[in-house]
Amino acid sequence: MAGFKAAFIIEAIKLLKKKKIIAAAILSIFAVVIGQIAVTAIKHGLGLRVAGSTEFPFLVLSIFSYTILPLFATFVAIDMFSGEFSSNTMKITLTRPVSRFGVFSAKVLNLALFICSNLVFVMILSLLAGFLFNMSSVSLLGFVRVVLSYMATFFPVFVFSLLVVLLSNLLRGGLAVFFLAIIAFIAFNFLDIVFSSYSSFFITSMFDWYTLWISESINVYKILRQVLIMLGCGIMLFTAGYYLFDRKDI
Amino acid sequence: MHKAIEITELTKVYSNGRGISNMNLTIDQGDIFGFLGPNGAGKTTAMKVMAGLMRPDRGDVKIFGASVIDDYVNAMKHVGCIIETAESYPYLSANENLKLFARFYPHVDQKRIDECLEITGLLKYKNEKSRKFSLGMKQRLGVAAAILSKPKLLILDEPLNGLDVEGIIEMRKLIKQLVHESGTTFFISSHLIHDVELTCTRIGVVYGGQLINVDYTHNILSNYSSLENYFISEVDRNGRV
Amino acid sequence: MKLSKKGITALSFTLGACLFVSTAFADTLLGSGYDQLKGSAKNTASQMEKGLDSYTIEALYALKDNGQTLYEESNTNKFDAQKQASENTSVTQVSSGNTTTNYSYTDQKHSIWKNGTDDKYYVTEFPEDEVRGKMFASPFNAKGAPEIEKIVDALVGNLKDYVQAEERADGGRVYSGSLSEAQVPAVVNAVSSFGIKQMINEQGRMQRDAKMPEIESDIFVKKVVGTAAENKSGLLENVTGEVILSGKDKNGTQHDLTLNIVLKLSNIGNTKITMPDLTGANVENVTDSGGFSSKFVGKYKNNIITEKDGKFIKIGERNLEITSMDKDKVTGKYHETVKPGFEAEYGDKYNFTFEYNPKRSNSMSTFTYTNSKGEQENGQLYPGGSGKIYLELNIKMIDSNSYQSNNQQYYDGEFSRVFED
Repeated sequence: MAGFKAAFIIEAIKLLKKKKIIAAAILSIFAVVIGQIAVTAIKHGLGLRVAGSTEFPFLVLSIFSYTILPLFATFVAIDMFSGEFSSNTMKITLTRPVSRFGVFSAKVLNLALFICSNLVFVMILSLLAGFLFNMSSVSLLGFVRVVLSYMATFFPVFVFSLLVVLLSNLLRGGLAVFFLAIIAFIAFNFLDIVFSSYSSFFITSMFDWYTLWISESINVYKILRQVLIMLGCGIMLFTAGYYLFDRKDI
Repeated sequence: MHKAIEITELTKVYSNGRGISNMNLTIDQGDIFGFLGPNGAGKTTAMKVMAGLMRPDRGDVKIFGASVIDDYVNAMKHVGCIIETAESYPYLSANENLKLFARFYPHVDQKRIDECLEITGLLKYKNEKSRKFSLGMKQRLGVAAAILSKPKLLILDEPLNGLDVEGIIEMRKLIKQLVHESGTTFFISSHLIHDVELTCTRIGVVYGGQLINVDYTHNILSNYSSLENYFISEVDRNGRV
Repeated sequence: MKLSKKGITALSFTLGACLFVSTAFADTLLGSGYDQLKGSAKNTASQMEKGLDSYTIEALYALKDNGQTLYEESNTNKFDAQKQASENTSVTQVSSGNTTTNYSYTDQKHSIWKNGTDDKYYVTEFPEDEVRGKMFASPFNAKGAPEIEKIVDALVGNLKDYVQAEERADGGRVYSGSLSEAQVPAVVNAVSSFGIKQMINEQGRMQRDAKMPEIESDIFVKKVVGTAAENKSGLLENVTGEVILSGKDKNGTQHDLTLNIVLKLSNIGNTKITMPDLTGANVENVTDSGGFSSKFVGKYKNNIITEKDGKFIKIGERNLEITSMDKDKVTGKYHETVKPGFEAEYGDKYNFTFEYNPKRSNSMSTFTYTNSKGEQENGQLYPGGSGKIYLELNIKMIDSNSYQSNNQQYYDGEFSRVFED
């Protein structure tokens, strides 16, 4: 695809140059440190081992995947679309010899890369923290499970961020998109509780689907269904987002 | 002679009724086309469609034979443009901005970037963040970005905006030089009649979303005492209809 | 054929939407093993409440520390809906090896109870007309249960799929699930570990012979395993569960506390309950009269006390005599004597006879008596342990569930039995 590579590198450099990525990194470190302090405090205060060395990353993941990660994915997605539309910088890339599909997919791919790297960053941090504080309980299987879980968490969060992409191509104001994304996130979680039997329709209910990957007896069909749901939802959101992006008059 | 731009039956109407309707225009290679018209006449709209930022309701624009609607990538391969305002990423320096844009054109290297910075007089501000630039400096950066790839066609919307007298003179010089050296075609919009008269070889007048007349500058000047008189008479004639 | 850009976009969107909606629907319809198990449990509970004629439930709880039994309890419950009868045998064994057996039998007319410490049957007879509660109530129909169910469902989240259902050849189903340390959500782990730790501490204080290990640090849920077998008519017949909690005691010794639970539903439709043969057995009749029985007949005394010059002094006595104790009827006399010189200070003395009809169903039942001014007042009587009776006088009823008592100063209401040597 002509120009895609250039558009992709441009998006990546833009992302790296922004302060958001530093904020995300600092907050991630913060979350891991606070988590470790809490675990240590509970261990010494109440005598409970909330998390051993390989369980600590799961504890971090279960909180991280519902807070910082989707929040920053939302920030980045809004910045890439709403932000560039309103600051008029969108036309810089759009008047170059690259199709809109190229620009759109370059942006989405960078969003994916951001989510990925944030996950990897937190995984390494939490693994390190776990090893440092609980040397006694290290196992290879645990390590493999941690890597698997963090990898699995990427998909639902990415699909959710595609929803944010769609919203930021639908609405003009970045703030409106942000609030709508938050409302959607809360609403999904709420509906998931009220209509728990229909939880397959709410993408946020899959944020903790990594539990399926680390189960003793892996339920392949369930995982396959979840993958198909996310794939379908992802294709749908990506296409809808692209359609709006392509039709947009700058 | 090859056609640089072919605009056929181009129509784009906004919800408020303004826009352009049924515009037909052909620009030959080597032309310096002046797109003249009052504010709100539809100049920017036409140029946005040409640059692919907007999708027309009807009609097509072909640049060097490639349609901007169906074959955008090839159409834009040899085009540099500034539409409405010259934009750059404020959190990057002038050099970094140009380096990013250069990624779309494999043949552009750091030497060419420095060359463009030299031409536009920005070399000494090379490593300053464009956030701190004045309007004129941003405009110069925009020009540098537009000429970076040595395009065969330059679409410039109000290129003299924010430039000081020195800048305007340099700009004029640059246009003449590019035409002379590499046969670059220009499509320049402006509401400054005097500048258009001095630089452009061909002039089109837009009024109320319609292209009302196209003629060569020397033809106009042989019939009218100045371009200004021509413009007023054209607009007047049209306004009465 | 070349598709236009619009066509590809529409096609791709439709494809994605179809894939999403159809799989999500399929997923919803298929449900999880957890949902099936829940449905099955609900069905079983409601069948047990209404529908099954008779059945036997066996429950076994065992708590082990590193394989050593700390506590074991087995419970056999038999229910017969037609006879409205139930029978319960429970055997408890603690780590010292001591075993206690409790037995009880209930039908529409009788309630027979026997505990392991004394070899004696306590028999209560009910009046015919009394409406009695259900023998078994489904916990899913309890108040607030649907809300709790929703919250639990949400908390379980994707762990739902840890429950796997397998079809059996005979049409039944087997559910199984297991969670190891990493899979137990941290919050659940922390809360349950803390809860169990507290429970162990309390148990240790209450039952000195239980020999609970005092685990103090590194406590965590190590493993949770469960299975359930469903028969072809959709009833859960055999449910087992195992929770392993790990921790270290003061000396750093590792302890694995294992809690095993086995529930069995059996003999559906052919459970037979027979009333125990009481001929020749040591039987004590307990009247169903607010805890009163004939052994409470006798005299009781309570001192009238006052405080003078910084000392408690006795100024008289309150005397209560229970003259007879029949079914649903207690009669007695009450009078107060005050030492000379204190009459003015004490005020009016009570002197009355009464008849009290306590009702089992109403804990607020009272009796009326006449005070020295000829006015009607209300009083209440409770039996106490070790031959004591509690009496409250001059009660003002506020409504059917609450009252206000107007006791005199230095009156505790406790009457001690006067034994004649």
